[in-house]
Amino acid sequence: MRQFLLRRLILGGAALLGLSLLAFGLVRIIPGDAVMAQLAESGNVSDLAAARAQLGLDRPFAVQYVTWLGGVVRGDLGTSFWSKRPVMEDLLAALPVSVELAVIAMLLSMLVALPLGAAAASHRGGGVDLGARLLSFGGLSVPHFWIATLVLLYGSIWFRWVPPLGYVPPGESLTQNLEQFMIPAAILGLHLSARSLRLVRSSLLEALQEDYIRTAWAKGLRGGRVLWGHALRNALIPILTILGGQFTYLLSGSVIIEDIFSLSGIGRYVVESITHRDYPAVQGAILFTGLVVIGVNLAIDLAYAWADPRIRYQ
Amino acid sequence: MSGGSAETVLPAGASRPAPRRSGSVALGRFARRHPAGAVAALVLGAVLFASAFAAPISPHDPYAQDYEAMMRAPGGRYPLGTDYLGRDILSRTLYGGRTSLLISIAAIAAGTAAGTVIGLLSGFYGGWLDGIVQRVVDVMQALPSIILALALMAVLGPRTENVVVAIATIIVPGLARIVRGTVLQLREQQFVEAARALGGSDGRVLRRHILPNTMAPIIVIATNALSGAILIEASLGFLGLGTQLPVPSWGNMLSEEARRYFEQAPWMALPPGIALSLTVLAVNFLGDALRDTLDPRLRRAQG
Amino acid sequence: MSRLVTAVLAVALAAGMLATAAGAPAVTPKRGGTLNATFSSDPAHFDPHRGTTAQNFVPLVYNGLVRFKTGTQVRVDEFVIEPDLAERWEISRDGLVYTFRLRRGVRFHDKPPVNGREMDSADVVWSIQRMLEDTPENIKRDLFAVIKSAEAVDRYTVRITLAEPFAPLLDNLATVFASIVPKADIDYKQVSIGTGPFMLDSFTRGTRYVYKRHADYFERGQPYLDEIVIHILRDFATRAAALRASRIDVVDLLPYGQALPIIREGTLAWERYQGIFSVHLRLNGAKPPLDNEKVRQALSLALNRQAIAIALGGGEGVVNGPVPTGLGKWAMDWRKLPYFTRDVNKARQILREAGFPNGFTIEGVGGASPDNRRVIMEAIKAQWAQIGVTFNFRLVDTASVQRIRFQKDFTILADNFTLSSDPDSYLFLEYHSTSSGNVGNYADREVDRLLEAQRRELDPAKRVALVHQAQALIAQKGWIITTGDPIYVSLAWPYVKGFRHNNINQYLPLKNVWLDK
Repeated sequence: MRQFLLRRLILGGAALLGLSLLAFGLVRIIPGDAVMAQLAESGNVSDLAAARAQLGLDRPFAVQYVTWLGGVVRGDLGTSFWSKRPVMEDLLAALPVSVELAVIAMLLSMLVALPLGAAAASHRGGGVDLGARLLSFGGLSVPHFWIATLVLLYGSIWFRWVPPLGYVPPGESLTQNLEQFMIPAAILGLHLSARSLRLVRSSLLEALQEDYIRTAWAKGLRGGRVLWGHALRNALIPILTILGGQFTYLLSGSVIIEDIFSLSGIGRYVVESITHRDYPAVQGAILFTGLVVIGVNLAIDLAYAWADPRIRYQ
Repeated sequence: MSGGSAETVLPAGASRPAPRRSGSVALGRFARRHPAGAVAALVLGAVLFASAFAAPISPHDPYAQDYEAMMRAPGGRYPLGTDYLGRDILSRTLYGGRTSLLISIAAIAAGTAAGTVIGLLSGFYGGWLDGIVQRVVDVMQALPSIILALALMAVLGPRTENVVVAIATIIVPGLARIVRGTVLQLREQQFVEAARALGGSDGRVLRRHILPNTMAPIIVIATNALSGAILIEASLGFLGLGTQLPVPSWGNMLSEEARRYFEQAPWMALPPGIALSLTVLAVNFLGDALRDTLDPRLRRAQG
Repeated sequence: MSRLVTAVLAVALAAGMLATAAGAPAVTPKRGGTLNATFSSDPAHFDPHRGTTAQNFVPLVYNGLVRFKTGTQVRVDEFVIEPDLAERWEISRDGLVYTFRLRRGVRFHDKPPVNGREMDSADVVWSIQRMLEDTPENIKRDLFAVIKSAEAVDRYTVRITLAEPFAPLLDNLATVFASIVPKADIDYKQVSIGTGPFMLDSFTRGTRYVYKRHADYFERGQPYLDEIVIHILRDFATRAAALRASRIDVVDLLPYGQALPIIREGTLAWERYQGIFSVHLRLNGAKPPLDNEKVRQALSLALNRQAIAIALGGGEGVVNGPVPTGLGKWAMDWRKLPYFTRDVNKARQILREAGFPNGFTIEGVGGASPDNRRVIMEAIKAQWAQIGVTFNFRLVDTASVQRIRFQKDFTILADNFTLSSDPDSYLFLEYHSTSSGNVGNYADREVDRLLEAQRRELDPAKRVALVHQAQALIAQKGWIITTGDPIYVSLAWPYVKGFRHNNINQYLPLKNVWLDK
């Protein structure tokens, strides 16, 4: 177990190092550099070289990279070119928004996927099966921004209601916070539920074929107990994995939903930073996201061991 | 240890090259077993047909602007109405489908091909090649796909062919990992060892014995990815980085203007929106049916 | 459709105007309350003298020496200069020396390290020096570059000396880029301390900026509001929905077509006006075939500008000459401008004369946002196709546009002007052969002469004539293809009183606003 952890930590570190290099290089090959992006609409640039030097962009690539990495190791992601604020501070402000959105969306999606997936598996090929798939595929098939626009538009016309604007931390007002996250999380959750539902269904179908389930049936256990007690627990592993993938996707992939519902999460931050060619911000955000993702995946691997006692990491 | 690929469908039971069956018989059985899948296939066929023959079907030139009829409601000369520049929505939806499907299918084809080759080689040869590939895949999978696509579009510049490159790139890592996993299992199978013992070259073994057995999961994943690709094309359109105007695509037809004027002129957004959703829905249903058919473990369950 | 729209509009217009008229000055404004407003993006920082992203937020916090008169009695297309921190001023006969007499007892916000001290001439001189600093970040330096020196004559008098007479000076001093900041050792990017009606209380990037009433503000009784919250709403559809759901009280600059359904509901007060953004294409005069004047003229003649303007506004738009119609007297009726009225046959003929009987293919580039760039490029492509010109364009992001503009690396560029109440920035900055803003390689001796003359001319009537003359000549040259602007709409809940949009300093009018609820 310890050896496994160590190995995963080393691999994770290697991935992060690769990610840092990728992020660092990627932002620098985007046409139009940071200095240009800052100059807004004027052509009045008396000393472009000086402006570059001011941002430290005149130094060789390797020097810039090592300097930056040195800061990162000390927990300093640098200062934004655009807002001149510490990148770490802005990311830490954006993180709770993204995490809350992701967690609620995943909970909602499981709330849909588990019962419907189980029902679909136990009534395979029947009306429930088809209906469940239709619902979840429906959520998967309509673009987010499309549903979001309709909800906002008709919410405001019919009910004179839209979710509260801007992030309200749960500590400040839990009801406002939930009022705010319910709709965007539901839209994302519905989207996610399609995949989870399909996975729950197929994992359960598979599990139901296993010998120990047949034994359980043979022992005369009732259907519900077999399904929930035995089959579902076995189906938990693939579900955990998909949750990990969903979290990665949601952490900054929900940028369009963040845009429309005015939630300033990490996705929004990355997109805006790319627009501004804000190198430290893009690098910091990508690395930060990577760190969270790798951490979550590690946690999931550990959770396997808990979910399936047969798995022993070496 | 299980990797990050829960959706992996490993043909653990497939221990020799898949037997060939008569096509029409297989289709008939498929339709009986998966009526929803068959309907989806029909819908998809219709969409593909309409897109392929957009030119003869379209009542108008999709680029022609009629300033006497800007944002006109459906009816009369323009059966589905016109957009903000007086262009026929029906014709643009048909041409838009062609663009969107072409981009998505091209991206999936390219991404699948690249992912398969990388996965095959990485799984078959292992060693340092595998190590490097896996680390690169780790790096890419630590990034949400839309962010990667955005960064790529920023680097490459917003051109239609770059949308293909961006979408193809983001599906490569997942696919490569799944193919590799399958190959790792196959490599140890008796028929592969037998083929090698009989002096089959690496290339031959890969082509004749390994590749055919990885096809099932690849097809399933590619179908899944196709529905994702259509949506990503639309999302890039939303963010202003998709297909270049005035070439219509479902994505850019749904972007700013359509949403801005949704209340005043819903006909601008509804046709491409419905066409897109219907297509993705059909792809998903078809993918689901294919998965049930091709996944041997579930086939066993079917009996 | 467009005729129907006009009919509906006439009725609705009357209704909308009535609603605002009811809030006109006769009623005594009520004090207190919070106004929820919205803007599309964060300012990069708060320094008024560096960059434009804080532009909209600045007038809440800072004052200038002079300002534009705002309020419901001022038309959107007229820009009247009124005293702000300067009570009055004298201009020397030769137009070179401006002496500003400062208002006494004006206090800065009570925040450290300034702690509510009185504003005086040292602050003004300090601010002017910041405005003139030659750093790359000081992108609005051109507006003030003519200032040779600024000195404090006494505690309440500042003398500004110019290198040459400069008619736009007062208008330029009324922009947010001439805000007076306290002379102190502070980072103006991060801290916002001014003399203005509101104080920045707190903010969360990407979410909201909260401004509280400045109790010691020098205009007696103002501001009326206790608090202004500016919500950052990136998505335009969200802005309209939030307004309807009364999460926000007022929305500016909505294109007419988008506002129409809300106007029709009849619950909100509204006003229409034209913008001064003037969506346009720059033709690069150094790149063949655009170096040929005839070619440029043919391209201009082939355009249906009215259709483009209407498309921009989703049903209602206005055509602009070189100086946008929204600048009132400075603008010219576009029908009187050469090569502005569409004539496809003549365009073809000129193209033949220029040696392009079969047309040509030409490349264009423009910003993907704002979205109106896309609309004009799509429309122009279709219109030029009719004279055999194939226009291939691509859309890039804002940072790429900056690079292209800076390196003059384009054949045709869809771009924006520097917003101003004075025609000079639409003319001198763009077309004078020595101007840094002249990115299309335009050079013409007669144009130069007219542009220099109009900025030196201090007699408004004579200057109007010169400005019109210059525009006609510029239209003749066909350098920058201006098309038009949407008709914009402001929408507000009826309890919002005293609001009227200002095209230059968008949030300046908020000091006049009060809530009747």
